[in-house]
Amino acid sequence: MTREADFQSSFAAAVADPGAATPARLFRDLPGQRDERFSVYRNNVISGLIDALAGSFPVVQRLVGVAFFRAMAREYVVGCPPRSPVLMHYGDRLPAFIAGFPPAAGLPYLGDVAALEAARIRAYHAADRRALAPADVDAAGSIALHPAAQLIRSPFPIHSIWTANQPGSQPVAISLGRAQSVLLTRPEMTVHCHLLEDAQADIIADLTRQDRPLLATADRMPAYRTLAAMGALCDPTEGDHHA
Amino acid sequence: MTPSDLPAGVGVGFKSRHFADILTTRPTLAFLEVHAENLMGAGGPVHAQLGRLAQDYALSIHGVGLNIGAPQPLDRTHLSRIRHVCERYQAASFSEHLAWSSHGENYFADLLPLPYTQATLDGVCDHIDAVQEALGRQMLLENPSTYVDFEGSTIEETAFLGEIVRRTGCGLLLDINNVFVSSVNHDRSARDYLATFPLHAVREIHLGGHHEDALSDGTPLLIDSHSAAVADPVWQLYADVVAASGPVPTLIEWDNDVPEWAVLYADVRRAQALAARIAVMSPNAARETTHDA
Repeated sequence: MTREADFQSSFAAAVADPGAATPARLFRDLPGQRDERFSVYRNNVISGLIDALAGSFPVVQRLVGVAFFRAMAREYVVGCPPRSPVLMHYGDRLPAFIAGFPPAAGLPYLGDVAALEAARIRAYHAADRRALAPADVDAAGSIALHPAAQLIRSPFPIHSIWTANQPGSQPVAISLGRAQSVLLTRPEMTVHCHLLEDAQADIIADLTRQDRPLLATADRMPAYRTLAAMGALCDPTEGDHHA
Repeated sequence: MTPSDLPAGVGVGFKSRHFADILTTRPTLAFLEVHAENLMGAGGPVHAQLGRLAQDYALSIHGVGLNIGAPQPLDRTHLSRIRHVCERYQAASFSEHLAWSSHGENYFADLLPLPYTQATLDGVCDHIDAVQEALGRQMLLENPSTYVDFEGSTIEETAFLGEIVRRTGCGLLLDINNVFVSSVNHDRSARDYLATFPLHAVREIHLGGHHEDALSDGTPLLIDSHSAAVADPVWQLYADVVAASGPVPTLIEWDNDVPEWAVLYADVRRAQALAARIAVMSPNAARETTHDA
């Protein structure tokens, strides 16, 4: 490897790890300034990624407070750095990280709330497809899940928690002993967050597991119509389109 | 190779929160610039908004993750994503940075610096050749803002950029805020830097805001934050550059703590007024720049 590759290796190793020593010998700045100058890059890298996560997980941040969130996100950034220059899905691994993050163990629902927020981002960026209208369900030969539809099933009341922590919401008492399933849809350009009944969630889970579209059978028509009204379904015989 | 083709005038970095303002007030804008990496989702509002605005405005696609300044080979998957974005939006221009942002498997989401040597020059030129070949168009390369000075550098930054232009035929994106930030941070003269900058190759100018900080020994340090209005010394340098080179497509960049539209548009109007004033004062300036190599 060339010396230039060496420069990059030592810079890269130190810039994403607050515990690593500054590669001070790389620089000709005044020796007393090198650590602080290098820290600008370290701060840009780490704070920039924490800021991006804070923008994607506002409810998680509200539940734990800014200081806790940023400390938790910092551990995620250092332990699970991005692998792609496309950052819109960088938070996809944060819910699992939170679920296994011991300092957050006192809020056992936190990982599932994060999963809901990560699913909102996926729904937002999902492919455009015309949502199947309830009136068209009967005529559709087969049924598929709309590309933006995302199901999150939790043993905790994550829909109630998420709703109660929107900007401007007033505090409410929420009993934790209630499982809830949430369906995210984006039939047009706005992401919607629906609370599902168990039977509805079973159907969505069924559709998620299929690698082929389901036939629109008569016994499921009423449920399909309800889910279609939420924007969760599409006609698999129609292709993607750019809105 | 299609040349970079931004319309003359002043544009802005497009932010989703300004979509309705732009659509309803129809501001005078020469172009909109968007980060390429934000356009790599499959669908949704990002594409819906930009698709609508692309009917009315020219688009500049600005990459932040292509890693041109790294020794490792270019990420071909990412390059093809960029090609797809440029084709989908019929981009008038594609630009990237003299910087690196990935190493091994990791992406750092920041524009990191490199020493200027014969070896890094060769590497950057190879990467730019590959980008221009893959995109079938001339790309623009942006000068960086830096906080450290590499022991190993053997070539001045302006000479380094000039040699890249000569060897690859790329154009340059002159970020005047970056010039000012780096000159303060390295205690050098921004005017001396600009006097040796290959102005003939500049196809776009960036104007952004910075944040004033200091090292603990009191040495001033400017942070290229893109979170404020363009500072007065940067406006002055801009006036000097435009007086010397003639009008250049100019972008107002504001990426963090994004203000309401009226605040951002005030900087657009200021740049438009300044360019108009200089065009009146030095009518020959525009003509001279059409004779570059």
